Amino acid sequence: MKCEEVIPLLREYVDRELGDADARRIEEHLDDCHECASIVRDENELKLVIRKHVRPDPAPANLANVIVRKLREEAQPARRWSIQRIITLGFIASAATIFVVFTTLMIISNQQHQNAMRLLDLMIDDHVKASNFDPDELVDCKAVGAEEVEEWIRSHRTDNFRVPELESGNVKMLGAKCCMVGGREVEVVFYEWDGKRTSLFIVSDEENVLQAADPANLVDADKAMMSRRGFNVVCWKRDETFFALVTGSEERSIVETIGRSYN
Amino acid sequence: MQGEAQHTLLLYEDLVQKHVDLVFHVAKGFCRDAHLAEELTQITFMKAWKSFSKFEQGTNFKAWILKILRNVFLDNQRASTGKRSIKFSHAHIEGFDPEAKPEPPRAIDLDSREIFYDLFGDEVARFLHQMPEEFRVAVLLADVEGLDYEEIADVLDIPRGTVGSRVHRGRAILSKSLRSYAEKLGYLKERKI
Ligand SMILES: [Zn+2]
Ligand SMILES: [Zn+2]
Repeated sequence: MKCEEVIPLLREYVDRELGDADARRIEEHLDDCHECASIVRDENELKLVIRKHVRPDPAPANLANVIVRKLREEAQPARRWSIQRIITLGFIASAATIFVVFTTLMIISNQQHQNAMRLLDLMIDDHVKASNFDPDELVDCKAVGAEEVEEWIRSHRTDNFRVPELESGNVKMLGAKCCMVGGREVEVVFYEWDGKRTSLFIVSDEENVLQAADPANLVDADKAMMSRRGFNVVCWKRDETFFALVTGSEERSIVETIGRSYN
Repeated sequence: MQGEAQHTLLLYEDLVQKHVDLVFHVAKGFCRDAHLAEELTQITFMKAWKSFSKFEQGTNFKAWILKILRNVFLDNQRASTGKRSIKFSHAHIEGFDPEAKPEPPRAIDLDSREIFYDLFGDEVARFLHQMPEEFRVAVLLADVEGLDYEEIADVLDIPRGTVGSRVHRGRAILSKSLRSYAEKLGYLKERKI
């Protein structure tokens, strides 16, 4: 086997996830190849370091007992019928109805959540792609200022909104582009932020589908930030417009920059 | 309580005692908060008890209970979204450039090897703690809890191939953090080319 064939398999080899036959072929190669052998040694040592230094905190001493007590309380034998018990049952029945309705709603919102996350992932893909482009080739509208970009974007869409002014010395607007993301028309504004490319996606969201995207319920000016696939993604919603900012900048810089203008 | 039911409960209580540390620790890995982890652990075991009849005896309890934990964690995350607070996650990681492409595995310089691995104590846990959730949890399950790819795939509900790349990428991020930390302390010279 050549190194090029071996290297992609080393990951699984180190974790003992390869079949015997493959593992043997790798080992034969490792006997003769210093380079690959030292990759394996490093990975194994790193695993050892992790195991040695990341010591799980034990659960609080009484936690298991608390759980066991709760289990036993729940397992109490049923008492004899009484008025009180009938009332309780009535209660339980209505609670169950509420629960079913609630669960149904949860399932719907879960579905929305997944759709929204899928869209965010597509945005991240586009952001990654865009990061490799020269800004001049990338943008449809070169930035002279936020107003021009806003005017240009308005000419494309029906909803009324303002391009956020990201106030910070470290942010420079590069321009904007109109594109399709996940079957929707989306406007993207590109920035250079802390020297890193940042993309702001602007989407019309009359149906409120994207409301579910965030972990902190996006209403009005509320923002949510999540760490996704190595980027910080900040989402917020204003009226019928959804904004998603995909950036490699650090949270502190984000808090300083958009925290100030949007709180 | 009937004898049979009593027996099942005792069996389950035994499983609680045996796995409470595991569940608590992984819960903490998910949410990074000891109090919440305690709560999630309780909810997980109570919930698992309700569907314990569906658990096939003799199969992997560890993977089964951790899968329930993950769902409990996700539910909790969704439920806490009502709070009108800005949630800022921890994306600033020492030596971690989110825009960098994952690197192929490579060896560390020989001359720095010995000190490199002897240097660290709490930093390993600290850097692991700061990693994005998907990598943090994958490394935790694989290297600290010793689950195999199949089990991790089952717990996290991702394809087996993804497990490999998350675990590996997680280790790479950790290694990079440790290296840049060591460099900052002056223990490691810049890589020679
Ligand atoms: Zn080789
Ligand atoms: Zn932080």
